Amino acid sequence: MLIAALLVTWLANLLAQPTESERQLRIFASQTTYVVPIVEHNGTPYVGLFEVLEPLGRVESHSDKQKWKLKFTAASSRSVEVEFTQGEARGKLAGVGYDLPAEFVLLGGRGFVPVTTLGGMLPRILSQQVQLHPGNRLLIGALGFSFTQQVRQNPPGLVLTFPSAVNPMIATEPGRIRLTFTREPVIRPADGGAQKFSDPVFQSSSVAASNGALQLTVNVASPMMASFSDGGKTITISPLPPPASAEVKPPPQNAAPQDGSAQPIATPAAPLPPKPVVVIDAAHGGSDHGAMLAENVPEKDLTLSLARLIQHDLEAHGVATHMVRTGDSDLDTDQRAAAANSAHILAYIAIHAASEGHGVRLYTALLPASAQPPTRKQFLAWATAQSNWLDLSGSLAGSVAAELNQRNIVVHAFASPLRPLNNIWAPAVGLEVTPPEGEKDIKSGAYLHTISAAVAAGIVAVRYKLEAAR
Amino acid sequence: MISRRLQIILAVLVFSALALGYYALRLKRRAEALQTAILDTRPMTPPVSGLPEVVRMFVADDRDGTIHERQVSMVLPTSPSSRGLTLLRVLIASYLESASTHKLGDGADIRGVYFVNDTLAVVDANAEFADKHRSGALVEELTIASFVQTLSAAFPKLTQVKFLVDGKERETLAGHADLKAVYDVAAVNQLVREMQ
Repeated sequence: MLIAALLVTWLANLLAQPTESERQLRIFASQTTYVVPIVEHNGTPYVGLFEVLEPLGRVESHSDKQKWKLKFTAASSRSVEVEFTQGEARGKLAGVGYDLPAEFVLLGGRGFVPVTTLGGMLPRILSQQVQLHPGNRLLIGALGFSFTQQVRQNPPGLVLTFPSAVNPMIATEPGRIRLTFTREPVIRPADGGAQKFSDPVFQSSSVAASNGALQLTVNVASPMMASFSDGGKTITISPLPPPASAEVKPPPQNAAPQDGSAQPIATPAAPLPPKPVVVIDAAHGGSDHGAMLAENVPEKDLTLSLARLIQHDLEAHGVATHMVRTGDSDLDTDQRAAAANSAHILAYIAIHAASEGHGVRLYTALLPASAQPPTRKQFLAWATAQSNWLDLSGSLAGSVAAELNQRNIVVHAFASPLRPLNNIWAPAVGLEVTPPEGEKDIKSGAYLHTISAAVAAGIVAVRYKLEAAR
Repeated sequence: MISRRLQIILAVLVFSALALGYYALRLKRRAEALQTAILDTRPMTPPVSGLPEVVRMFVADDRDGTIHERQVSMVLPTSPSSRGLTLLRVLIASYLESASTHKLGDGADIRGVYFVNDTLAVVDANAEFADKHRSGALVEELTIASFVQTLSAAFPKLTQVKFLVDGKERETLAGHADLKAVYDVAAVNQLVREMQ
């Protein structure tokens, strides 16, 4: 018994310690895009079924010793029940027997299923088409779209055409340019995406998918730049123009004549300044459950759900984001502040939840304001780093409060000793969600969506003021 | 037919059994009452002599997230540490009452209040104070603000307050309120004015 208990504890710890660098499944649905951590069990990748379904509808689960039951109700469909037993591959889905490709794993009241079963299991739960693509990308509904590549001669360029607007991360390095798609359900072209171009500048391209991202790499012979057109549906990769002031030197007399094969060596393009990000910190996680909001509803789960919604809404407004945690990670508040401060941070939002009270509470740091303007030319005291930013944090909180009020959500704003607001060197606001007025259900999807939309709109409204302050 | 003598003996035995049972029940109840008194860990203020004085207490109310001033007449010791300790223990005792509007966990207590100088006080709470505190940004903030404000009302020169738990620094009270920070009394005074 003791050995079994130790083994279960060890396995639970092993599965409950995802880090930011660990594998993840990126899920694209019509209402949101989110990531779920992947954990390994006996060499097989697993995901928590509750975490996969939670952003898509109402999910209830409970476990009784070895048995685990989950009930999923989408907004406009009937409920579906799933039942599995720890260590067994055979279970029930909507009252009918269902076989997993490997045993079901139940740890700490959470049910884990192999990733490869999602393509077959989710259509029966969601009543929608679901496709599991290589590189841990799961598309729910007919969302996926591909792209075409065409080399243009005059002016020279590689034109990538998409049926919908895209906003990939673009990175250049000597000899290649990489486009990484994480926000859009871009899928590999039918021909695989690998092409060889008969062009002296654009040599070849390849497509690879990993850890939830699809990456297009174009091998080039000179420094490149990418430009967007057609509302983000077209990306043109073209050679960087020579500097206007560059002096044109005549070739040396004994130099061999240039032919098509003598291409200049590709040199790295000047690095683009990093895009400022809104850091979203879903409070608690791992062994820190936070407050219990209801039976089986720890604060850590609700904060992560709301963080994902806010991330989606901000990115829909073109605001780059960084999630401090994307899974059930154990992070102390100093680690959270360090992660935020080391990002190219535009603003910091900490998300909390409580069962007492109504509406949303907004917190700014409880510190005396500093008379010094924010500057990076000085060492900063960790305990009072926020004191330079109190005015802008207040503006940010005011803007979010105004948006919440417009949506008839009660708002209370306070200064607060909430950790780690004092340690953030950027405008920082804490958000504590409590049930809507006259109700007790804090998990209502519509309520959380409204809060998320208001928070995103509030940040977007002061975005230029925040950028100007950097 | 049972003889009369046997009937009398039987009646005496039944009566004795009932009497002993009643006596045992009384002993059990007395022992339970004694046990409850021993387990009652609510803080008690040491008896002091002198004239009573009116002190200001700032009491939190979870229902609307406010802090209310309450004036209490009590006899206080003269040394600052004992005076601060007595004040905070009276405040905690009010939070441990069943009708409290801001319940603290059973066994919560303050071990000591130490004055580094006139402007900096260190409040050392026991483990139950933090371990059994309800988790939530507002409820934790109310506790901190109520304690700092009550101390600063009694010690006007105070500008900073630091909290320890069992003599050690702790990251948060119950997952939210910063216990690594040294609280600025002026900032807390401003907060409490907004919360009143």
